[in-house]
Amino acid sequence: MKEDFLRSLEAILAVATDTLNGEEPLSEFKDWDSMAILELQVYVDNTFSKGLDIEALAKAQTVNDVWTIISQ
Amino acid sequence: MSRIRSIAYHFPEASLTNTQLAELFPEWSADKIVLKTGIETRYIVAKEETALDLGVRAAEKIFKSEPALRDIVDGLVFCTESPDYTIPPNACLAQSELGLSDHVIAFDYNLGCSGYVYGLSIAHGLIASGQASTILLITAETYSKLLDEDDRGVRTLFGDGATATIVEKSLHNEIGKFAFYTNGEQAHNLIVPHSGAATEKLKKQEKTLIAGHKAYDKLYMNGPAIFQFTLDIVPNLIQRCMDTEELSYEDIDHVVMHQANKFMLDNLRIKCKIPNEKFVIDVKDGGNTVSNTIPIALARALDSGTIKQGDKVLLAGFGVGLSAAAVVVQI
Repeated sequence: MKEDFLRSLEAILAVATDTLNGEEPLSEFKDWDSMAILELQVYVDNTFSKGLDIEALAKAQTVNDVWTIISQ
Repeated sequence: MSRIRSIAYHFPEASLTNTQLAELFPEWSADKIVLKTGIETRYIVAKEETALDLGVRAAEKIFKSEPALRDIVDGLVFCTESPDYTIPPNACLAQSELGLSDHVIAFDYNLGCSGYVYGLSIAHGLIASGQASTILLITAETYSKLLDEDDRGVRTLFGDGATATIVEKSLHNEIGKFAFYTNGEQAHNLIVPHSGAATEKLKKQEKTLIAGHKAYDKLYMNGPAIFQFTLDIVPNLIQRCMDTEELSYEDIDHVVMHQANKFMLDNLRIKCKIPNEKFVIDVKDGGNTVSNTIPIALARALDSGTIKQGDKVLLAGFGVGLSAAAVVVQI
């Protein structure tokens, strides 16, 4: 599941496929903005049939932090 | 029993294009803005122009095409969150400017993107209870006055505008049963914090309620929270509305939701399983004009022939409150 998440996040962030490993700080992506969060919400809704914890997401520092929030 | 007789809309003259926005916010290109939001142009009021001005202009378009209506209207309901004054209501000022009867029932109500559907409900109720027979429903917003000029997120979405709708008594019930949803617990996710009597009270809470917001006298929108709200409740709201009427999408010719932005609408359409050919998206010219988007989209679809007389149209508005409402109308 995490692999699928990483590939989906690559598409959302408009970065090359198979480049994310999870340790990247979110601040290094210029496309990590409010629109990216909306796209992530759609991914979580479609894949896990649940909402994304927006308050927790606001504290996420890395890609792995985002995965932890989604997979909980 | 009641029906929608006619709809008109009005935009202010000045516009704000994606090219202008990209110059203000160089980290976003004009192409990216239209790709993500579907919006190309928003219309912005002049400094001295108000919601009352816009609303009166929209109503005058209706009276220009049907002059006799001016003397027939016996109800004026004005939806706005950007009124000219706290006191008095815009509806009373509009009654005077439009030269309506002094027997008219006239009042404002404060709602955002669910406001048009609520307005239809109010008009329908006034007619059903015999208090009026021809209602002028005005929606008018000047959100541009409420936006922080440095807030890219809201400036790309919101524009100003107004609409006027005549709802009249009819032989057949062409406005159906309404479905509503309200969640005041999330009100702080779409708010102008320092805009009313609660300013001092809010000062004690704002660090937790709206962390990160810089301009407390301007609109704060927690976009992800609002989006989650729509994903969570709109599909159920629409289903409730159709169940009440014992309808399915097969019975409905078109769906017109609040035109928040294309991204939200595309995803709501998929989640609600609405056939693409029945789904109206009309955000390119004008953007998110709050309570105006549904009647503007309806009026344009009628003008273009996309929606025809006799069509059944599902309307759904959602936003500030947080609040949502849906209804099926026969045009």
